This record gives sequence, structure tokens and C-alpha cells, in this order.
Amino acid sequence: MSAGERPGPLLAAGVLLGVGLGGFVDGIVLHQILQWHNMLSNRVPPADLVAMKFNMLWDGLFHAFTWLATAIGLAALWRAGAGRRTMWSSRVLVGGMLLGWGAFNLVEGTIDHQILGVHHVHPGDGQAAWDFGFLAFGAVLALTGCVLGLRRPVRYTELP
Amino acid sequence: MGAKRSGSGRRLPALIGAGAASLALPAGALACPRCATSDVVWAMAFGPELWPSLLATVSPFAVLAAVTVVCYRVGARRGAGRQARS
Repeated sequence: MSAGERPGPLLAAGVLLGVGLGGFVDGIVLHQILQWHNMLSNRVPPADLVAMKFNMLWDGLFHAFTWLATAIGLAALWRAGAGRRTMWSSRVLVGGMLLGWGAFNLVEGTIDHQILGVHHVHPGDGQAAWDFGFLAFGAVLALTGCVLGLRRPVRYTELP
Repeated sequence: MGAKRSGSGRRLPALIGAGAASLALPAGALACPRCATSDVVWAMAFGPELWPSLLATVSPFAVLAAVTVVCYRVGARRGAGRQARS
């Protein structure tokens, strides 16, 4: 790693990819496979076909934005790869992705679960604990990503 | 390359195609893109609830875009700092 190499472009690409892939984990695992919640399930509970399809529509829009984040992240990664002064490091990319996934959980969890209350991670008994767990998991991911992505690299001095 | 494909090798793409078509046709028939239920759902989605629902869906991504910009700038500053020290 030489002087003047910038981790910024690769870190930003990793963050965008982490946001997109973290959003897909939420949408695919929690919305579709486990069916714990949908995008607006606290506002329109999916108790009949119309309400289910209404939530499905907003789940689709949510997935469209996660797809967009992933596509822009891929373009940013391509652009970073073409830059001469980009620091090319697996540690920075993985750190950025973890930071992006963690930031997704923290931001989405705060806005949608806590402030707007449009859905909760696992509605019912103990929903506050599930929401807190989602935020805590996001904080751990974001912290790990920060440590990996922004840590100063170990410098090896060449032996004479 | 150039090797003759066996009979079962030739039949495989046709079998896969037939299987995919048999799955896709009933799915298309059941999807009901223009039935009464879908009309009600679209009317609900584009009714007075449109803007609050859109806000809930889009606002996290707007904040995350700002987080990405901050990460880019912090990364750029760290690179510049390293250059200045060397």
C-alpha cells in the first residue's frame, strides 16, 4: 500500500453494497421466508388478500430501492477499480459492506420501527426486545465494519 | 468441443423448457394483474396513504445515501493524511 492511496471510493462502494445486501436479507428472510412482518404491516395488518397484496406492493418498492443501492454499489466498485489512486483492499471492502449492513439496520430500525412505527421486527409479545436486538445487531456490524474499513493498515518495512 | 451429445443430453434442454413452461403458465393465470382485488390495492396505494407510505419506504435510503457520502469523505481524508505524513 503506497502513500496517497485513498480508501474512500472502495469504502463507499462497500457501504452501498452492504446497504443493498443487508436490505435483501431483511426483505427475503424477515418479510418473505419467515413472514414476521411486511413493510406497512403495523398500519395495514395483512389479515386478508387485499391487505396482503397492499403490503406486497410496498415490499416490492422496498426491494426496488435495495436493488438500486446494490446496482449503484456495483457501479461504484467498478469506478473504484478503475481509479489509479484507489486503495484496493479486501479488508476495506468487507469493512465497508459490514458498515453498510449495520447502518441499514440502525437507520431502518430507528426510522421505521421506532419513529414511524410502520412495522416491527417480530410483532406481538416482546416486540420491543426484537426491535432492540435488530438495532444491537446493526450496531455490532457497523462497529466491526468501522474497525475493519477505517483501521490504519499495518506497515511492513522492507528488509535490506 | 465438437463431441457428439448423447440422446439424453439433447433431451435435457427441452425437458427443462417444458418444466419451466408448465410452472410459468399457471403462475401467469393465477397472478391476476387486472382483477378487482388488484384495482382495490392500487386505489389504496395511490390514495391519501401514498405520501406517508412513500416516506416510510424512502427516508431510510436517503439517510443511508448521506452515510455513504460521509464514508467516502472520511476515507478520502484518511488517504490524504497518509500522503501528507509520508
